[in-house]
Amino acid sequence: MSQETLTPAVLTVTEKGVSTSRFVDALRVIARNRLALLGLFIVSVGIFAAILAPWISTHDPYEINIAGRLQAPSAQHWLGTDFLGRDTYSRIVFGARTAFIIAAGAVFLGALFGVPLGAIAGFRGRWIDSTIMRFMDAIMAFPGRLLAIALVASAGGGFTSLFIALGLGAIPSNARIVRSAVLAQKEREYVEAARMSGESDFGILFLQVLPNCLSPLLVRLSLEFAHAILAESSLSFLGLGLPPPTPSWGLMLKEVTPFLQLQPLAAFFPGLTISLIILGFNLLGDGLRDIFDPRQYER
Amino acid sequence: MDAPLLEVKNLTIRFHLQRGVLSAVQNVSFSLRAGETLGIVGETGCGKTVTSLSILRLIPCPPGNIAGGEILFHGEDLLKKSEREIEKIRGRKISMIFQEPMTSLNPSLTVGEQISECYRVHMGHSGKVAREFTEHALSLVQLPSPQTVAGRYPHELSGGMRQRVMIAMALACQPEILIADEPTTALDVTIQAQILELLKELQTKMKMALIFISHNLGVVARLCDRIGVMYAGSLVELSDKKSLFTHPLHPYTQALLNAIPRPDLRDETLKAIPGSVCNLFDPPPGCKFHPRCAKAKELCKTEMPRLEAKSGENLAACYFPGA
Amino acid sequence: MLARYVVRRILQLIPVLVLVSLAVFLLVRVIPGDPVLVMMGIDQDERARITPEQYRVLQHQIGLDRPIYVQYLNWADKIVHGDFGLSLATRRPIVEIIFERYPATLYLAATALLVGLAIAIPAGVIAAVKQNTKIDYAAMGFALWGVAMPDFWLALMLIVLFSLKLGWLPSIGYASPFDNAGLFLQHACLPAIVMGTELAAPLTRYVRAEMLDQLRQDYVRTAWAKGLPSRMVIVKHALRNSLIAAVTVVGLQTARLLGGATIIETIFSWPGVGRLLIDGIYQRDYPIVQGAVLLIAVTYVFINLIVDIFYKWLDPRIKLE
Repeated sequence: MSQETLTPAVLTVTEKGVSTSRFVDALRVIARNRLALLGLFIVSVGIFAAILAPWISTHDPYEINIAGRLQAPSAQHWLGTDFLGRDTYSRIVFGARTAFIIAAGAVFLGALFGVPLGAIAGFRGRWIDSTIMRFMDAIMAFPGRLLAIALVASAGGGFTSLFIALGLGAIPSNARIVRSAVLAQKEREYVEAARMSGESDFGILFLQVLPNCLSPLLVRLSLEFAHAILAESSLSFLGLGLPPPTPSWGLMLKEVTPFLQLQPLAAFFPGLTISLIILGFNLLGDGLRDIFDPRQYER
Repeated sequence: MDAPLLEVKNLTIRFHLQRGVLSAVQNVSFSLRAGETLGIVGETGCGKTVTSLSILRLIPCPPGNIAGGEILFHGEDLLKKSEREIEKIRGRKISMIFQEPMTSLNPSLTVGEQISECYRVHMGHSGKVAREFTEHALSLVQLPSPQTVAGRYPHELSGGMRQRVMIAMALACQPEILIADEPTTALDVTIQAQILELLKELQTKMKMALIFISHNLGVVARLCDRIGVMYAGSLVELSDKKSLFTHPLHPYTQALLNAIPRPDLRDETLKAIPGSVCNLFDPPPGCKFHPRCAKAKELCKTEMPRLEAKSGENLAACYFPGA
Repeated sequence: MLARYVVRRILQLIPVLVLVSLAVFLLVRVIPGDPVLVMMGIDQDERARITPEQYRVLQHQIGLDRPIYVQYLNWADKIVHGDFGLSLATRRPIVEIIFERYPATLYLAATALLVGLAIAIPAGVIAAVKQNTKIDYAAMGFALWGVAMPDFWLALMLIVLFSLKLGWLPSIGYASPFDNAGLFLQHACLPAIVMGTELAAPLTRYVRAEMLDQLRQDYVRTAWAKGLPSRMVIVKHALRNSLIAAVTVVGLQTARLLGGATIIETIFSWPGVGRLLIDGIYQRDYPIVQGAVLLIAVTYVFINLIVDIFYKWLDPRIKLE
């Protein structure tokens, strides 16, 4: 007696397990997307602050006023002043420029090298793959910050070396993501079809395969952005990043650290800004992942 | 006849889902005497699993909601018991085995550990005594070299062996009722027969009542004294085995029987049931089977028929029962 | 089976370790300026003080007159034999300096790991069990915020609160746990909380997700059906399997822990390898920088190796393959 005769096309949601999890899943995606909207909002505010810095700042971020140093927030200085009497709010706003430029540069560099390397590794396979991936493993053997610290220590501070130090760290994760996406895509029919129609490997890879790997990469890049901002502020905090008097959030924290006892708020606001911006990028990344890959919302 | 061991009265269960409220079980009533075997058949999604899970209060609430009814065990309502009290009944007085023996066992604990914890929790045995009991339980389900099997992880056993382990686990504390939810569906046909045989044997040996749930009438017929047929969340017929097969009361039961291949009939007489199961988020008024029923009259479309005695002890929820 | 896996994993490490050492070796070569002067710690503008004769002697001493691959092989050979060279600042053997500092880093990392696990496991489990309640939202809020918050800022804020305002805990200083455990805990408290939070935030989220997944599994339903008390179902059945999966995440997070140690050790004046590295950079003591970077990277590589093996050993399903 076969199962089919007794189970015609039935509504399958009724069984407990299925309905419960589907219900919860749907709810979670909505809740997540609300958080993603919040993330998008925070990131947008950050970007607008960076672009409009000269217009929305209240003071010259470099203007020193020793007499009015380490002030608490007031009507005149919304977030108080630092150890040289510079306006914290204005420096945070200009700091957004610094943070976003460096993060954008690093993310761009990471993608510029990471994407082709991962694509070639995944598409070609064999010794090319293992050679490239061993190099990636070696880069990844340096825990998080250490690589950036070591590179900046030898190459010196400043914009260019920060781009390179942070960008290099971003290469392996981009390469890995693209490689696995390419591996998944390359067996599909459309690749075979393109090959039949006589397209070159290069053409297939960059015109057919890569566009289909964009969504995991986009998620990755959003998280990478957060990572780069954190790394830049860490390096600047250690005094290895941008030289003073550049308005950089990490540097601002470093500069007021000796005065924690006198005015803790001077250290509070720059750090809060970093946290919020990173939170924004992380929420955005999580949201994008939910949208692109609803199966993997939790990981 | 003495008082029934288990009595389910007007059980109604709903799930509050995003798409709406789903009535999984509606007004289901049946009773079970000690030592009896009751079969429950129906298609996937008819509410048979939900009903059985609710007896052990294993429905997740929310989103599930037991909207009404009683489940009397020895005259006490299980639905009113505290979590503590129900824990003392689960696995001790009433046990359950499930369809998927692979996923129903914990992959990272040895099967011996998973059985012996029943003895430790319910009987308060020490680890050593529990281990001895475990080996005994494993030999009871006819597993060769129980000592070795006890030290194995579920993935090291075959499907049939795993289901035997599940049975050993469920019967560890000699429960009064065993609920078996499609215990053989995931197994090969030959193994199915062995497991059914084993269940039957152990049931007689331990004098326990069995609720056997399946979508397969043939399997149910081999084991059960009485059979309940569920359709779209309702119990539509509850008859003894013989009458059910010879004089089915409800049109749905009749349709089910017609859909079973039988050696005495030619293949052409196999009939699929026309139409499909109603949407449980928005069931039709009246009898839920009426859109698919050849005998449906005006009354069937407006009034829901109650489950009543139609022929002797046999019950059906139909205004026009019989052949 | 496990042994074979261990051997294979160790063999895979070799190319990675070679590349890591190569990277560390090259690190000093990319420093702008004359490598001879850099290695000797002489500023570019002091170049004039050295005669060409002296310069050639120096060049030969450091071996910079030979082809670069010979230089690397010589360097690697010395490293393998435990010769990291001399510190430019103190003229002491680097091996000595580094291994003086190494225990402090390990003690702090271990304490932070314990703090992190002590936060993440209960928080993740409770959040999953009480899904979509206020407790769950609080735990998830902690997870999101903890990941976003820079550790050095958290460190500063904790110093403000507990050292400067309340005066409960010291913000700098160190004692070995074996000499004076109480003093060690006092000093390790704040840095361990900071680094523990770093670890706990992503781990809480992971444990919660894993728990939610496990709680939905059939075998958990079986455990309930057996009549086990809920604590036993959650801890012995669901949590056990969640933690097996979480082990790999803990491994990855130690990277953050070790990388983060550089900054945290510097803030709290913790005499570990991380602070040694930063001080080395400030003093342009490049041999020290090389040694510290190499040691941290190798530590991380080996921690990951241990975690992978531990994971194999834990999960009976994988053990079979």
